[in-house]
Amino acid sequence: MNLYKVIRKIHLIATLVLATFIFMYFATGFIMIFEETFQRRNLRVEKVKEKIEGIQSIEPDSLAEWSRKKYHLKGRHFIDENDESIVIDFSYPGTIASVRVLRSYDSVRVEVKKGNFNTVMHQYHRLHGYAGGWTYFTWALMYDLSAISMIIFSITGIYLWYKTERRRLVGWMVFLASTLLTFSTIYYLMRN
Amino acid sequence: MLEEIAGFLTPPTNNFQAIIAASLFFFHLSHMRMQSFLQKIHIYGGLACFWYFFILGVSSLQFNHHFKFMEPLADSIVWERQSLRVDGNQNDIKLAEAIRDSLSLMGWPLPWDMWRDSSAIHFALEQPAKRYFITYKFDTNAAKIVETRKGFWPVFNSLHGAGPVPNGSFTTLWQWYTRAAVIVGIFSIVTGLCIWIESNEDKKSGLIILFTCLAAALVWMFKLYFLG
Repeated sequence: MNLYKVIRKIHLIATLVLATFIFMYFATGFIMIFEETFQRRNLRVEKVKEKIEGIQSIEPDSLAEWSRKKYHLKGRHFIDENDESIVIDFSYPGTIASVRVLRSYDSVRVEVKKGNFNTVMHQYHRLHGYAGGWTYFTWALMYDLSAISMIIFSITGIYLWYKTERRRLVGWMVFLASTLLTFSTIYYLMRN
Repeated sequence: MLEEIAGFLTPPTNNFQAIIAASLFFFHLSHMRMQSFLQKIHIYGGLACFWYFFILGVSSLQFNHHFKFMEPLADSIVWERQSLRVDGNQNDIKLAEAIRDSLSLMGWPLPWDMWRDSSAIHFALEQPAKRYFITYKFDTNAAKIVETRKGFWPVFNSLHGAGPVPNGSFTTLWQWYTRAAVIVGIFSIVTGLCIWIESNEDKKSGLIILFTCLAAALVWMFKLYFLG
């Protein structure tokens, strides 16, 4: 098999495997770019504040597990600890929850926000990082593969164009225009 | 197709046959044109958006891994500007924007990194390549600016989804380019799949891969949405 066929095969297989994911990233990206049309808003916001004796003495990790069960919270969580409070943010596409415990009081504040369809799309698009268990690990892996395939598509696409087209003047002009725009934007931002 | 064209060229036995043959001929003609048109969109759209797709790939990897060499630099310089003409009787955001404009800087004032005391307003101003920390004194109308240059990679990665930067009129062009590129990206996937289906190349195994991965991805998305 010659190089052209190998590259064509790579281009094809990468598309077939990751078509859904890449399509999802472009479709959700479309919603993000045209945010004036596809606005985000919360469909429901629930707030709970209650006094719980001795809550400030619980370790943050145990507190996260305790609040997950008590308030039926789902998704992965991140803990932000400082001298005044412990904040645990739970999130999964569509829902964000925040549990806040003040160190000086025996009280907990929980806020759960359920977003509309556009919010869900934003959160799918922004979901990255390997933390949060095997579900999120696999998602992050697919994310990485999609990112790598974007690089592969762009490079193999150029190669395939170069090999298949006999008249390349228009192609070169299009490619140079895109190159010029990209690097002049970078130059403009760095100079100003 | 050649047989159909040959059939079309032979004298029709009746009008009905002539209409069918003509329809088939024009269908094939338009089908070929459509296929060639899709191919052109795929190729030239891909070439036009090469850099955007490349930036998407690289910046996405950075978001997932936070590579050290791509992190912003902390290369700062300090400079001052005297005799600025701004109206101090505005709310903090408006005042910060007026100071930014009178300094001919571009960027977004950050509301969470902004405060005012009796003698001055202090705020951060952010743009993809630089971060400024500005202190403007009301009594002297002078501003002290700490300018931190982030280096090449943060600028490169910011092109992933940059909207127009305030006072950076040229960046509007990039915003339109990203909008076009996202639409071309969606078209490229669809046209790429159409071209592949037409070509009959590895069709059976390809369809199995495509639908298996489609089902797996959808199951994954629903799982995350319903179960977290």
